[in-house]
Amino acid sequence: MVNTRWGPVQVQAGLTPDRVVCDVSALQTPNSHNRSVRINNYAKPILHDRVLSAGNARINGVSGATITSRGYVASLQYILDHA
Amino acid sequence: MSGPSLSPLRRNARLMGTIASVHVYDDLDDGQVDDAVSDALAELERLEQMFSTFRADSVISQVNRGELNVLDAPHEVIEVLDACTWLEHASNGAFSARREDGSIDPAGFVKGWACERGAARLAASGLSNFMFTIGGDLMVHGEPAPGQLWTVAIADPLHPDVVTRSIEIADGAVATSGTSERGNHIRLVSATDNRSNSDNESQLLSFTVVGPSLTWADAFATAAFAMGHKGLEWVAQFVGYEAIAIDANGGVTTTAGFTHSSV
Repeated sequence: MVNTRWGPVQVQAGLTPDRVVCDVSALQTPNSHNRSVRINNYAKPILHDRVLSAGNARINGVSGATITSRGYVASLQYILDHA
Repeated sequence: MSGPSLSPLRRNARLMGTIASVHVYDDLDDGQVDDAVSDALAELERLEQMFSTFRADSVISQVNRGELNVLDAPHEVIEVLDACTWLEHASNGAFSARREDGSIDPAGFVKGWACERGAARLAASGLSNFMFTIGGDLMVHGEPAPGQLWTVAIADPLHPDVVTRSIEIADGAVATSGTSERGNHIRLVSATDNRSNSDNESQLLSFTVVGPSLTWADAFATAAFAMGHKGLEWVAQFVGYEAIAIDANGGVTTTAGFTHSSV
């Protein structure tokens, strides 16, 4: 549980056998009402600060400096597209 | 709390020198989803044909050769050039769609703008839950699973195979500008921009902007990256937009509006 300016945020982390954090997700955000959560996160996106491995984490997309179509096959987005 | 996301229907297309990815999480007939995605991708191909400086027959190439007056160009071209002019002023020249020889190259603006138009096409076709991304800039709409936010990884500019940070957002856009693969639309305002002002501030490697519109998230990321650390303050003036900067030492700085969470 992490206290933030906007209220408590409970986060869940997955660990690999060698105790590397492999998944981080928020379980509870300051507002429980769905619409409030949406508006809250719209203005206050949550930044997670731990190492994730693309293979394990619940990641929907990747933002990074533009990759060329040649570089795409080595990108994290490629992993998500072909998982 | 919630179960794993259902596997989305995924499509890729080669667009604008990179790859577009569309992930649709709607529980709809595959054919309906496919038609909607095809329609959105066709719209992006039409826009690429209009704006590409790599195609001799594009509208931009015709304008640059003096064969077509901008005032006679399609309304999309006028809309984009108008926005680029505003951004050049608002960023004090950090962004510019004009080359030094006087020709125009709005490539630094078009990708995010076009991606947002593609996402709008999907919504107009009746899709509710999807991600539309082109080359590291993305828009999300709806939710990947009931009650879930979207988790977007920010690629580490130093270790592209490891994700060191991720963000959670509802509907909206994430765009990143960085040192790699950028065209000449980034023009440093002066030789001292995006450099260390003191020993404590090292050069930025990547600048990510989160906000409601991908057009502006992408445009702000491009301009703010050229500004260096002061780009954070610049982005913060735009309501609804937040930013994350990663420097060469791995240091991360954000605008005040981020909720930080660590384990």
